[in-house]
Amino acid sequence: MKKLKPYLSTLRLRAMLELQYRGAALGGMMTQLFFGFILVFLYQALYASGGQQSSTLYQTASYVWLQQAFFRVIIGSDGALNGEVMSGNVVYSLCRPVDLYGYWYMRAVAYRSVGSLMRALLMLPVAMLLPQPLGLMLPGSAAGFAAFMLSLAMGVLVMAALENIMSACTLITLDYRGAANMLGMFNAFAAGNLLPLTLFPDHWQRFILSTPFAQTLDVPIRYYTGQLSPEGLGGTLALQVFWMAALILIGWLLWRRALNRMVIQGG
Amino acid sequence: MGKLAALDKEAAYMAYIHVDQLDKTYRISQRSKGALGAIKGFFRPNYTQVEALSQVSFDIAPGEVVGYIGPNGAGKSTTVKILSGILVPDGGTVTVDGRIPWKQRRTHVSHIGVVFGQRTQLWWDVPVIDSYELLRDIYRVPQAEFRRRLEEMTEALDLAAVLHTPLRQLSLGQRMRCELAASLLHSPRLLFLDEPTIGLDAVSKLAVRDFLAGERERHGTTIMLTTHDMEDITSLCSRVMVLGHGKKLYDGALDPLLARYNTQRTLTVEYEQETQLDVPGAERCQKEGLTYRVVFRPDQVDTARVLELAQRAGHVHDLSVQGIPLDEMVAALYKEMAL
Repeated sequence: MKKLKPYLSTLRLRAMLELQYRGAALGGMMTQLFFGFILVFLYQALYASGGQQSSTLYQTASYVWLQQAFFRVIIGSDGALNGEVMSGNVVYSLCRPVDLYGYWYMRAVAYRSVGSLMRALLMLPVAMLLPQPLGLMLPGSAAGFAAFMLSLAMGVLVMAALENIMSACTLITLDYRGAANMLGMFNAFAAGNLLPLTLFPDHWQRFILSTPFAQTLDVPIRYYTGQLSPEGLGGTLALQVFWMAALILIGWLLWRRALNRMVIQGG
Repeated sequence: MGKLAALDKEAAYMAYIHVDQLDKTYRISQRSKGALGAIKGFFRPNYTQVEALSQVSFDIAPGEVVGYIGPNGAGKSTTVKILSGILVPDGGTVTVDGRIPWKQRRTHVSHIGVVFGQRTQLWWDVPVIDSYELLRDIYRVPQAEFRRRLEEMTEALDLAAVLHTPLRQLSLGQRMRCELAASLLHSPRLLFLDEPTIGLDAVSKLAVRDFLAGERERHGTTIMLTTHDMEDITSLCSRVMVLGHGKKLYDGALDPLLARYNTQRTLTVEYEQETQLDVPGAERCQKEGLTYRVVFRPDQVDTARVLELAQRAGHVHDLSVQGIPLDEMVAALYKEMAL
C-alpha cells in the first residue's frame, strides 16, 4: 500500500479536481440528456417501423441512457498531458520519482471514473422518471446490476490503458489530435457509441465484442439491461483483465521508448 | 557554521557532481521561406545539427553554490536537464553523488530539486496546498517532516496568505514563490535553479535570495544556479561558470573575471554653491547645476587624486564614486568572448 501512495494521491487529487468542475458536469449532463432524447426517439421510430429486433425498445432505450450517462468512460480525454507537452511543463513531470506511466494512468482513471459518476448520478434519476418504454429500466436482476458495476469498473481500467497508449503517441509526435481521432473512431464504432452493438449482425458482434473497445462500456451495459446473463461475468472479467494487461504492457513499452528520446526545447 | 566548514573540507577530495566531456547535439529542422520552400521541405526535409554542448567538463563539491551564466542559447538549460536526468547526452560522462542521472532516473530525482523559472509544476485549478500534499506523497515525505518543512518555508517565503488559493488566481511573484517552495518540500540535497527570479519584483527577489542563502547555510544544500540576473550571482555564488556556444569559457570567482572590464569610474559630486572643478586626465567632465559628473579611468588618473581635486574645489554637499554597472561588464565580457 505504501508503494502505491504516490499513485493513489494522484488519483485522489485528479478526482477532487473533477468535483470542482461543477459547471462542466452540469453542462455535460444537459448535452447527454439532449442526445439521449434524440437517440431514444430515433429508436422508437425504428422499432415502430417493424422488423425483428434482438432486444426490446425498453432495453434499447435503457442502453442509450446508460451509455449517455457514462459517456465519459469512453469519450474525451483529460488533455493535461498534451497541455504539458505543448507548454514544456512536462519537464516537471519528468523529474518526479515515480513511474510516469503509472502517474498518468491514475490521472486517466480518475478523469474517466469520477467524471462519469458525477454525470451519471445527476442524469440517471431523470431517465428513470421517463415513461415506460422510453426511460431507463431497473436492472434486470441484482446479479445483473453487480455484474454491470464490476465490469464497468474494469472497463474504466481498460480504457485508461488505451488512453495511455494515445498519450505515448502524444509524447512521440508532440500532438495528440491524430491519435485521439483514431481512438475516438474505434470507440464510436466498436464500443457501441455510434449504434448499439446489439443492432449489428451476429457474426460482426462476435468479433467486435472480443476487442477492448466493446469491453469498456457496451458489455457492462448489457449486463444491466439483462441482454447478457450474469453467469458470463467470469468470461467478461477474464477478457477485460487480458486486454488491460496487454494494453498496459504495450503502453508502458511505448512510454519508455518515448521518454528515452524526449527533448525539451527552449529555456 | 560547523557544518559548512566540514563540508568545505569534504569538498577538497570529493566531487559531488562530476561532468566530463559532455556533448549534446540537437537536430533542428530548416526550410527556406515561402510556398516553394514548403513544397521542397515536404519532399526533402532539411535538418541541421546544432551543438548545444561540446566537451563541457567540471566538478562541483557538496555545499557549493555555483552560478552558471552565458547568453541565451549557450547550453545552460541543456546542462541542467542532463544533470537532472531529463535529457540523455550524446557523449561524455556525468555522475551526481555516484549516480548516472538518466540511467537511475527515479532514485536520482528523489534526491534533487529543480526549479524551471519559466514553467509551472503546481496544478492550475486547485489550491496550492493540495499540490503540495500530492508532492509530499510523490516524494514520500513523512507527515511530521512535511509539516515542519512547510512551516519553515511558509515563513521564509511568506506563503501563509496564498496556500489555500487556487494557483490560477495568484500573481506571478506569488506563484514563483510557491513554485520554489514546491521544489524544496522534500529537502533535496542538490538544487538546480533555472532562472528562479525571472519576473519577480525587487522585494520578492530579495526574499528568494535570502531563502536560498539560508537553505545552504542550514542544510548544506548544493546549488547550481542559471540566471541572467547578475545580482542573483553576486549575492549567492562564490563561483561562476561561463558558457558560450556550448563550450565552457571560464570557471572561477566572478570578481577577477569582471575586474578587467571594470575600467571606468564615475564621480558624482554636488557642491553647496557655484564651483569650478577641473580634473586633468579625465575622460569627461559634465556640469549640471551644482552637480559635477566626472568620468575617468583609474589606470590613468588616481582615484585618490580625483577625490582630492573635487574636495579642494569647493564645499562638498554629497559625493559618490561608481564603477561600471554589473550588466554592462557582463555584456562586455560576452562581446569579447564573441558570444
